Amino acid sequence: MSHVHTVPLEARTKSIRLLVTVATAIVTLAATASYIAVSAGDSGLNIFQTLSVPLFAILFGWIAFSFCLATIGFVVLARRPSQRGGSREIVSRIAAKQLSSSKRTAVLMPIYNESPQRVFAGVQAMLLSLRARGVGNEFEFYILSDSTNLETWLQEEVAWANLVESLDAGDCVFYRHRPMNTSRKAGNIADFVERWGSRHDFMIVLDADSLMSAATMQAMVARISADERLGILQVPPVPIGRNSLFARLQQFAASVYGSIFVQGFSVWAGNEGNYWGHNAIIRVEAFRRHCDLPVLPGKSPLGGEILSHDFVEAALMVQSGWKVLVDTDLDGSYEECPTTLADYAKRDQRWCQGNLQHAKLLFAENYRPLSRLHFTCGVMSYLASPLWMLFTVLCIAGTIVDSDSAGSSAGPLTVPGALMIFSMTIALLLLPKLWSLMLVSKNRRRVSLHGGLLRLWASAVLEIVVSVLLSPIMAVYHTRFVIAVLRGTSVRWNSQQRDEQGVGWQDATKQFIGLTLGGLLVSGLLLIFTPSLSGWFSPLMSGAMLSIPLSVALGSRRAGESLRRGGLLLIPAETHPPKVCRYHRVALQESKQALPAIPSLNWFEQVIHSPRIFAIHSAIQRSTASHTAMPRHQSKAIEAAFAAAGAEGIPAALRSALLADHETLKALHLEAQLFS
Amino acid sequence: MTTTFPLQSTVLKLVVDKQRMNQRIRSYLCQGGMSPEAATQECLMITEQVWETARDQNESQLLRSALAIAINRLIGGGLAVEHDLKAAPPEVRCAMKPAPSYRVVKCLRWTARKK
Repeated sequence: MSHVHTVPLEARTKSIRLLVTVATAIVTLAATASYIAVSAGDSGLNIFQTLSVPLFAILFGWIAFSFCLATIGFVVLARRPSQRGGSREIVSRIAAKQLSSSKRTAVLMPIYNESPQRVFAGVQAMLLSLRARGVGNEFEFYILSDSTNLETWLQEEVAWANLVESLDAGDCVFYRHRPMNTSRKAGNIADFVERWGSRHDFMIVLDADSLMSAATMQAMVARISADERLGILQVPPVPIGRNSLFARLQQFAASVYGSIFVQGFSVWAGNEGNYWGHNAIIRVEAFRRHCDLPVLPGKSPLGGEILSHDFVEAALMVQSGWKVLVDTDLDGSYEECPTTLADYAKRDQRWCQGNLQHAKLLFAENYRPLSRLHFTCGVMSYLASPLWMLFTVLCIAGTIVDSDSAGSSAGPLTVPGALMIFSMTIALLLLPKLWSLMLVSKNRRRVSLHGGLLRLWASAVLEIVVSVLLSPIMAVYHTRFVIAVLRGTSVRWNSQQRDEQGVGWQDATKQFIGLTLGGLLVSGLLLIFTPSLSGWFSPLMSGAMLSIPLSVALGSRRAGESLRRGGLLLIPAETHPPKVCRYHRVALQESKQALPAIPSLNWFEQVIHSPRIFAIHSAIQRSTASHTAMPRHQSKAIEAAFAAAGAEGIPAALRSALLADHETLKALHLEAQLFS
Repeated sequence: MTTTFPLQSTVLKLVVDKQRMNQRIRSYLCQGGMSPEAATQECLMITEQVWETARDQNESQLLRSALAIAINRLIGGGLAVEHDLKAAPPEVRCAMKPAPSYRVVKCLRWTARKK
């Protein structure tokens, strides 16, 4: 049975929340008082320094809160004999009768213009993992495609047919394509719930790059079956499987430091936890009844359809009396991370708009206080950067004003008090990392999975240095995103680039030249006007000035792999890969080998010319009721274009409609066969 | 094909045409994913059907009719049945319960009214 059911959760959660609140308040107040004393010096606060005080309190409070959660997580994990129990052992402890629901559990993989090879390699790996465990028939996979790129869509269909044929999985791997991606991912899931939701009690929602072990999926079903008030059970995913230096740094950080933050969050949130959009199991009927998303008042980008649906769905569940739990004792939950700085920023830009939208929900009726706090955290994770930039500017201005009035270039921040504030801030940021390292270091097995004690600590030092250099870059990015959203610029939702192509010098220069020059300019000005501050800002300015080479180095797969060969930044999924990861690797290799070197026809032309591709597409259209007849004048235009110039001549604007119109497509296919 | 007897010539031509069409349809069905055995049976049935119902048509027209039937067989029963290519199970429609519309908390509504 899950640990959450054996502990008097409510009382414990209340105590922990009180503790976190009081500790955050004390630390923040103490630091703010110190900041005021240090800034004021003998001459008192000038206007800039006065304005910077509330910003300091907000920003320090924000890191103090994270620090407190991590500290709680550290204490909980340090007292627990094994830090992550392993799903296999947990499942074996659950009574057999609780393992199976009367209905099969749906495993949803919503996709949007992702690489079909990667998507279906993931499905194949999970299906094989479930079969190897003897529970393959307890799950059904639904690949829910919202792909708008025709070539990707048709490739997905063929990849699905190949998978079903090769694994004889016609009764448990399904594929559906929506012609319009209405309401994006939330609409995709809602469409599933409306059409097939009644067939299932539970659904495991994945992302296109998610991977979950059979034991974990089984444990999730067991837990939600055993607790009839449990609405969503989130199993935090850890990033794996990428090789660029940037990705490997993220993977290492998540593997070593992630657990204390997640553990702290889990015990702090208790039954009112959060949902991160994937790698979670959801009670379908509760979701159907309570998780339709409200439309926010006002226009896009802050109004309209909710983009980041997950937090809101969790809040709606909690508001309706359902539990939302974040379980930290299950492993076997994986995802992939962006491989370059630019891709990471691109993903952050999408999330930024979605999270800032949640600001409106802070003032909406009926949400529980903790859900409002989750929304606040989401907003702050992006708003903190512009606030931090503003704070920095005010600090510099305040110091310049003070220096001018004192007739000296040495500002008040040179006093030892400033060093104390700086040390406190650094401690709050670094101590959780230190504690995580201590936790790992005391567990011999985990140490060996990270390459040994020396390599573990060396990797941590490398990660810390790079994260310091990266912080100004991300701060500038986030600030730009926030300003763009507030100015009313909408974000285009592109799929992520999940291939590891690296970053060329030309691209990096184009992307980061502004930041580099900005860093040089600010450093120069600091040196001229406030030399006393230039030392404090040098680590941050170095990141900005080195952003071009940093971006190239971080995106390099070669750099990542050479560190791996040297035993640095290793994670357990690499040193001791679980079964599902091994299956995934093999499936990816197979799919790469199966690709034709240079296809003679594109996929759209193949659907007209190739009997097999046409048959697969038509079979899918028929069985998912996706047929939509196009207007007669359009089909006439297509037939004329085909007669004149073949499939190639069919206008791009009409191709999507043609693929949905079975009769016209059939007529073209027949013509193509007659004249082939 | 040459023969001194016109009737025999016609019959022989028909046989050749039929065989050619058989091969063509069988090849199409196999390319579409049907097993060779099933494709052989299907193409024989299709050719017979076309031959019975459309004798007065020319070879090109016959082939068009035969291919049209083959296409329907392929997508209707051939590939889907053989490989269990069922893209989705039967739907059991049950709509999402609509979300209540967005409303700000009462105190803010009160403040807005006061203004």
